[in-house]
Amino acid sequence: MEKQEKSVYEILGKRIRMIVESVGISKELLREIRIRVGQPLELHTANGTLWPRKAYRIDKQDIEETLEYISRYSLYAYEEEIKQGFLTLPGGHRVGICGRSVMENGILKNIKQISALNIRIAHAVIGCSDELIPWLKDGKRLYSALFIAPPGAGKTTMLRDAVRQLSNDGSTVSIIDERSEIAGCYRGIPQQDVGVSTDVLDACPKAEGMLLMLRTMSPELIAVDEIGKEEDYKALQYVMNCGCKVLATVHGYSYEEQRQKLYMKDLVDIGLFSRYIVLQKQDRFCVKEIRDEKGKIVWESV
Amino acid sequence: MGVRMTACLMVIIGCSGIGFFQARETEKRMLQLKELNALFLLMRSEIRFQHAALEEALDMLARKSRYFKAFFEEIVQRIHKLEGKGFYDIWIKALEKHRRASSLKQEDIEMLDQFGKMFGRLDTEMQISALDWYLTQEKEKENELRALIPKRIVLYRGLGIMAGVFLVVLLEG
Repeated sequence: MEKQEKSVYEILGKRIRMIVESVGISKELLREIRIRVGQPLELHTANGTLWPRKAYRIDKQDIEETLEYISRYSLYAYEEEIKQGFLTLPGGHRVGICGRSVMENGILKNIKQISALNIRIAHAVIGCSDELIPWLKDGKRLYSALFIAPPGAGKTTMLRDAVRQLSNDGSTVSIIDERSEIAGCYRGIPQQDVGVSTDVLDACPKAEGMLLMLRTMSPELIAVDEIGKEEDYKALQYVMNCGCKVLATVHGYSYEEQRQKLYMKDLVDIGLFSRYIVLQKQDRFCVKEIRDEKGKIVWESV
Repeated sequence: MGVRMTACLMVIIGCSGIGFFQARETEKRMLQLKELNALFLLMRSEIRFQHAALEEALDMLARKSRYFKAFFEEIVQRIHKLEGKGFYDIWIKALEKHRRASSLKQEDIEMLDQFGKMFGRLDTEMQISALDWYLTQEKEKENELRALIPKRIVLYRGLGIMAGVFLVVLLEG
């Protein structure tokens, strides 16, 4: 944990770093660092939001310095990520970027004049999926599962830990880590513990990655985060029809909501997922309910 | 008589040594410029096709380099420790530190300095442009030197020996 947070702090511009360090906030409680030109520094913690040294306003230089550090003086190497509006740091921390968009023929080509950053700190919580494992594996049989949760409810953390446990238990797992958030790869090497039998395809679009891994690594289980595009659903259906099990996450609040979504509806109706695990934000890593392939509640939080 | 002969011989050998050293330095300069050319071409392809970040690309150069290993390693270390407000800051510090260890001349160092100012900022195209600029400049210099260097090497060696002989004649006179 210490190693991770050090890497987050060291990418902050010197003045911002001084302010964050002067707050003396418990590192485990820190969730987000928000930096906006002309505004005070904003820290989101598990206990609420803080504006340390409110009189100090972030300037352009603070953002530029932070960007230099984030990219290790190689912002050009992150053009593709910037187009998507975020960068991923070693350790899986995600930096959201906001500024002026550069369009070419109606397509977003770049973001310039960056004026705001949101650093979301990844927390690996070893063992957070302990209670879920019996629902994902029965003897040697694996079940495909869909984690449904709103932003910030810990679905990536839960997915990572489930992958770690299943992998350590002998299942061959492939992670398609489009945004480098699950395994937190740095130069292709996972920085998070994702288990001994896990292969990670980093920074690859999910749909393409799932088919590629299916062909090349023969996984028993494929893990993907935040499915949403039409091609993601098609690829999911293809790999599951090939007999490979899938652990996937999706933004949402309930099972019923998923049944109304355009592409997800089809997957739910044909019962491709054996488990639907709904998480809630009320408390971190709090499972609200678990449903079977027919949508019947098999476990519910009291 | 024996002592005088030895002294004369020592003067001639000393002066010739300086001439040969100078010739060797000129040869080394040519070799180092050639190596820089090859390394920058490699970096160009790493950035263009692998989208390598500077730390990664320069680390690869350090591993491939014979003459500039320490220079590139220093930059990689400084990038890793985030020592510097920008890439140029790191580049110029490493250049200042390692220039004496190389056989490059002031004009070569100035070219590298200019390159550092352009590099590490904006988009990939800008990095490629900076590398192309350096490679073009370097090529021109290399062509110029290729014609000049063999003559210079002969000249330095000859001048060294001649200077030694001249000095002996002067001392004897």
